[in-house]
Amino acid sequence: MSALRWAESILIQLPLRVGLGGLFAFAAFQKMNNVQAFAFAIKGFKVLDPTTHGNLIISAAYTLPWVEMIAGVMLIIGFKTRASVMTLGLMLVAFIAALLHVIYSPSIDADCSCFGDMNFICESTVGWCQVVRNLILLVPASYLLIRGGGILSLDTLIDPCKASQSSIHDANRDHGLDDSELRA
Amino acid sequence: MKCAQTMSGVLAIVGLGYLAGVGQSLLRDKPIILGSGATARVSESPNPVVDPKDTQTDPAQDPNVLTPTDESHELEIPDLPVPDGMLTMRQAHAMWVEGAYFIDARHLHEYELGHISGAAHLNAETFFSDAGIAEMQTIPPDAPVVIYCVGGLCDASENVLALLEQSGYSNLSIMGVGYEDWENAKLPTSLSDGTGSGESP
Repeated sequence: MSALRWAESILIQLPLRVGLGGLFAFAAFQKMNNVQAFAFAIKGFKVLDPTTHGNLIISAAYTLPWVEMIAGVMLIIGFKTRASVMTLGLMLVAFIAALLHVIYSPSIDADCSCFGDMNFICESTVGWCQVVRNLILLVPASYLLIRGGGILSLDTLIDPCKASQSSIHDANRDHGLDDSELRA
Repeated sequence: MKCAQTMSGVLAIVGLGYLAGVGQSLLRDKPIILGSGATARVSESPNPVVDPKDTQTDPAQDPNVLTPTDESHELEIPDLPVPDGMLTMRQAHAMWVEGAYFIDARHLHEYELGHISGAAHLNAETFFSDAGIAEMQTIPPDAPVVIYCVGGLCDASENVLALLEQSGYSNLSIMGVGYEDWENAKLPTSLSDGTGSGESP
């Protein structure tokens, strides 16, 4: 079963971590390159009134790309995997909510600016495509949140007990023993 | 326990991101602007550009207005309603004839598919790029500049106006209608390769 965990780590968890983390790190880099344009994009969503909450919009324009970048890099290297993937998952949920706000407000015609001035799969104007894309991205995020970063992660390197405990747990399960029986 | 650890990790990442953002904001030389209230700025412009009465008195006698009798154009320019403080299509066309600088604030792919003849491409994404800076160097700070996008609810013109204003440009106006309206009125347009239905003024 340990071989199965290795296979899962190499074939599923590592590619998902690198893919999802890399995507967010790239998106963050694009936004950091032009914070001004990202601030305009946040304003364009019309979730916050720029006359009364202008400082909040500007703070978000500076902070969000860095949160994406830090969480993305942490996910790639597998450091605090669950916390980083939870951060990205919460951001995806927040983005979906903001996109739905624009879609259901006929008076708003906003650009996503999800990847700066580049388009990834969807066109720049906000629509259902971005919502579906973010929902799809939630699938690997949920998988990593449940299963963790796998053996090939910094988490395992720092705390090898986790991996060995998992291997013992799997081995016991192979022999028909569960954790409660072991504790007894 | 594991859930609490995860949530504290999330808070740590957000806190770290906030601190990094604060650091980046301190290193930035120009403050971030949001450009709300562009309409007010247009009306406060020290050099208001064209009086609407000038173009609405007698279109047949006004050389700036294209009428059905005009040899080069067949349609009269429609005077579509625009938000307060923004230029109508007639006013914008009058400025185009006088040689005002036109800036297309839409996406680059939209600009490449067609734009007002002689218009430069500049929006918030390209403003600080080499191409954007080179484009701005061709426009004198006190020259009349008309910015347009897709019209109606489009924020792009307002954003570019705010950025140009921050860069020291003073004679800025927004065309309240969009490129499609201009194109539908059979007014001069170009493709990015220089071909099109009209010539630069």
